[in-house]
Amino acid sequence: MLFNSFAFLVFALIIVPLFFLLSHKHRWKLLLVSSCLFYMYLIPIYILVLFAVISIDYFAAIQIEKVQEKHKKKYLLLSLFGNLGILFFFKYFNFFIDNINHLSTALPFIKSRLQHLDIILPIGLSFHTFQAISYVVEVYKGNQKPERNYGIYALYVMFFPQLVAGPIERPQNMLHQFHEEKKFSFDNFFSGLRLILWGLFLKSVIADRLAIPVDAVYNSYSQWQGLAVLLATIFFAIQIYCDFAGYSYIAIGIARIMGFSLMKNFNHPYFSKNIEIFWKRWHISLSSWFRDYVYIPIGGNRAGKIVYIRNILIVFILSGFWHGANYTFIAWGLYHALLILLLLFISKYKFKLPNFLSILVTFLLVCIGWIFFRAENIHIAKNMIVEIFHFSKGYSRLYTNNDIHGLPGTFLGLPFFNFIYSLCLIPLFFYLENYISSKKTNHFYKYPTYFKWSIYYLAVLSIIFLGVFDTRQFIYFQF
Amino acid sequence: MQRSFYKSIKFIIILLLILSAIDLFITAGLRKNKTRYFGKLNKICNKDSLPQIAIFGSSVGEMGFDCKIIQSSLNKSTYNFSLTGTRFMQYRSLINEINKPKNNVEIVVLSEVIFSLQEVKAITEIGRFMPYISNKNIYNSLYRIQPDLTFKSRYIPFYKYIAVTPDYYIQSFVGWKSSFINKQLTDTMLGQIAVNRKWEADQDSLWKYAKPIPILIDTAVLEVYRKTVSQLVANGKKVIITIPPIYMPKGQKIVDLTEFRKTLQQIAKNEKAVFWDFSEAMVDKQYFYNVQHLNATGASKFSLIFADSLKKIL
Repeated sequence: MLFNSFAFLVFALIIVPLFFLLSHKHRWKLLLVSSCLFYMYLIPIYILVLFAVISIDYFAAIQIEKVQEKHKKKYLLLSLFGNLGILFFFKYFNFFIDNINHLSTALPFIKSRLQHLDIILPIGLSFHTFQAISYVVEVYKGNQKPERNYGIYALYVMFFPQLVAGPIERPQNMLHQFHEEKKFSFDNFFSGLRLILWGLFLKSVIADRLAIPVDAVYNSYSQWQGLAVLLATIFFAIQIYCDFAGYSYIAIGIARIMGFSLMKNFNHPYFSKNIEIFWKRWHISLSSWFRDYVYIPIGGNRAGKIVYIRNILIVFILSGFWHGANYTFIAWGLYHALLILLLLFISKYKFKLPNFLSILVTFLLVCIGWIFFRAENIHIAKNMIVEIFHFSKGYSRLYTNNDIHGLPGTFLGLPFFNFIYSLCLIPLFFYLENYISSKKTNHFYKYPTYFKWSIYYLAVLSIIFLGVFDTRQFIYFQF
Repeated sequence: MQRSFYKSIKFIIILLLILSAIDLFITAGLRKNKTRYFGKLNKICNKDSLPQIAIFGSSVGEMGFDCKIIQSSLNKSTYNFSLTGTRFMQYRSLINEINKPKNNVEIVVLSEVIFSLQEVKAITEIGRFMPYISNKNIYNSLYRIQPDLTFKSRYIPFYKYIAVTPDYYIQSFVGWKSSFINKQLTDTMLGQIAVNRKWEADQDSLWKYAKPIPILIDTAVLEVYRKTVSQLVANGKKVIITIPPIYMPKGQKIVDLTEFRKTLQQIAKNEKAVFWDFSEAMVDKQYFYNVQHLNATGASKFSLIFADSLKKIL
């Protein structure tokens, strides 16, 4: 179920009032049932996969607490193998088959090829697998008591606002919230609605509108040259942020209305002054997961430079691979690892760029990384990067003459006014991001009601009249 | 608590009022539009000087019939109601609007192409029909194609805005403009879109390696088609079923029209309509811009041929 769909609106309009109408002891049951329905809206059978993950970790955590110290690790490993095994099977099996087949072509005596599995990745599998792992690890470390109520533990993994694309929560932040009695508050209600409004604006007005020129260029990249590729890449940078941050805001907003607090997932990453800061602000719940459960356990930056370099490479390559079973994601991770290492290298020289310039450079470097993320394969990504720096005749061509039915030509797949409108979304996006990041929103709440309401009305009207509402999924749902 | 509750109610009421006002404004603008698709829909749904000859079809019909030529040859008012990107199941919504005994329409031309009688699962640009989504004929025809979208667009307030394209707002603006500023802003082409283009070079290579296109005729669609023709005839209209010119040197390699011709011919015979096959009437490449679509020169020539044929039966 998509957050920007009519089905979800109906779903939320039923579940949220019902949540407050029920007594506290029944609320978790409502949330669990509604989360199951939410998940089963797409491929119902996959609820079994989700419950397999839940069951493994539920029993492993209880065993970890019960057994003697020396046996705890056994249950931790069992849980990790279970979770990662399921993830591997659904997400990476075909990728490995491809690679084995590819390698075996070099060996002429091997005639047979391994067959692909005809499976679809369960939605949000990587997210709830990581959330489940964090629970078992925290129980193992003794930071979290195992949850005895199977239903509440299941709810921790599949709470519908953050079920399919995070934020990847920690048990210390979430589990206790399901036991606390939530009271309806207008403060939560209004601030939740504001977050939902902002999330929908980012998703429908900006992300899905920019997706049109991005798809036009990336789906037929060979037809386009320098400026078109550059523009589409900048559009994609904004699209992916608005898409994912939009989802996160809606998730946090809907949870807040019900009195739950989810962690912040983004902190205006495109205003980062270097790539290290970018990674502290982008998909915070995943970056901090990798920091806490991979980077620190393998030594972090405390075991010398060589180990540090190795650790950075491991974490970023794994982070890239987490996104998808494709070399493009690995390349994207590796690219960011190299940027971090480059930053480490140049930081010795103590030169400082003006703020604006360092933000711009960081943004452009991140944009180049997005080419790997969005392109179909490494070869295409490489060609597109070359294209941006190849100043040939036709470099600035954005127009396509496609008047098959007497219709006017298009600019990056958009009619002229639509294209201009999309271009205007870039400064609008940066203005709004800057406004929010500079904490001017505190002043905003002090403005008279008529002014604030006008802004809210403008946002609602923009979503309804200017939003794109096709069946385009949130990008991060696929991970 | 109570204050916050009333504040929320007040906010929602004002929002609904604003939305309703904008909705009324946009719809009113579209209903004033006299050009392109909204112009066609307004003409037919408002029964605004219905023509004596009404042409229906898809893009092939929309490009191929020059109504000015037909009108001057026959001295009968003519209008091209064809809609690009649609098949019979969608454009029949417009046919049903004139399928009544007492109106100005004397001759109904059905311009059919190879995919006309296929079932469709998605409505092409539902926005074109939104100002009249409550109209029984429009609603029923669209509902059969995409029930969910059609139902929600009609009955859920403001839902339609998530299904329309930006052109919807632009055309509303054009409608208001034609109403206040430029009252002459009408469709001088009488519904036709004339394409001033020559044969596209890439068409030769495109068709050279193209695989044969099967002509699918769905029985359910065929039955609706037959009933529509039968009702038109019963309502006193002369129905002309026609296949406009196809650039056959390329087209015949990929399309076997035999079965399609036979089917249309049979319906025409059974329902007392007329069937004219012009698929091979024009062989010169200069009249086409691709295999199925006539360019402006081709449309003028074909419209003369068509008007001559009509003269003979009137």
